[in-house]
Amino acid sequence: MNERTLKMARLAMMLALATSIHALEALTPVTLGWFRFGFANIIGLATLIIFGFRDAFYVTVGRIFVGGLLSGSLGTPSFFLALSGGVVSIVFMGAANLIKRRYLSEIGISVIGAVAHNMAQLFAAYLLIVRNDSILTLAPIMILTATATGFINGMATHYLVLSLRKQWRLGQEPGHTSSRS
Amino acid sequence: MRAFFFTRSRKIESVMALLVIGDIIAIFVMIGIAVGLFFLTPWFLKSRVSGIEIMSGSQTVGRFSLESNRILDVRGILGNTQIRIKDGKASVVSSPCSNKYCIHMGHIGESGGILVCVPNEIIVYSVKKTEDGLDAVSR
Repeated sequence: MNERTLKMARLAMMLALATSIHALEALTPVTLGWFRFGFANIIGLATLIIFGFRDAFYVTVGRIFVGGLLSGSLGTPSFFLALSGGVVSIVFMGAANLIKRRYLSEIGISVIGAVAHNMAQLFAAYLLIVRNDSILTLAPIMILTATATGFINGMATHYLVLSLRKQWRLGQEPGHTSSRS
Repeated sequence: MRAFFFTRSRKIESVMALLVIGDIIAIFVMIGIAVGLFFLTPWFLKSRVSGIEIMSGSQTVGRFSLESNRILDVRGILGNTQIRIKDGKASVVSSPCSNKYCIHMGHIGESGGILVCVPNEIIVYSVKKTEDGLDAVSR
């Protein structure tokens, strides 16, 4: 198989994984209303680290569109919330990814992405739905929960990237910190 | 401490070792922003509520400052709803409606809010300071 086809197949697999996680997460009952772990972002971040920003952007946006189709929320406010959050977070994570891995690992990138995601969603919710300044009182809580979930997702991403690189025989990234175990 | 938590799995023991300087900075910056916003937001919201506006049906009855204590009688479709402004808080004290939800809704204080009586078609909501510096009109 040539290199292009291989990459396309791998990206398609990432998109399928991300979409199914996204759709499953939309189905899980949440007690806190707006609280989600954002596990689908693990796939987006792994794609970003392995394939680079452009492919990660496609995977994230594609995931949101196909996930919206699957969960039937395409075109609803919750779809636009997810879209704004996804786009902003992947842009922020792409920028954070430019920093050397020695200084900022997956966990840091994931935390930045998660907070950016939540803030974008809060802003979109303000523009689209609520239109009341009181929604700002949610911001600190959202940043704190985003930091926590970003931390968890970052750890998961780290192990996913390790195992994917091994599986796909891509070799370890130079300057990677955690090959000791 | 760490050995206490992660004695069973050596794989997980390396989780803390994954953190590099940038991660720790990012996490602490986020927590700092959250704590900062936590104290800043109420102040920001508080400083902008200047008074209340009352609507009866589709008509605006008027705008009232929260600073002077008074009781307002507002005519709705069922009868008069009494709105009390006291110590910077506005609340509904009596209403001709049957469920009295509007009375149980509490008060509008410095952080703003809304009180609604659906049967009597009365809405009381907070208004913000306007651009020109006029905050409220007393009648």
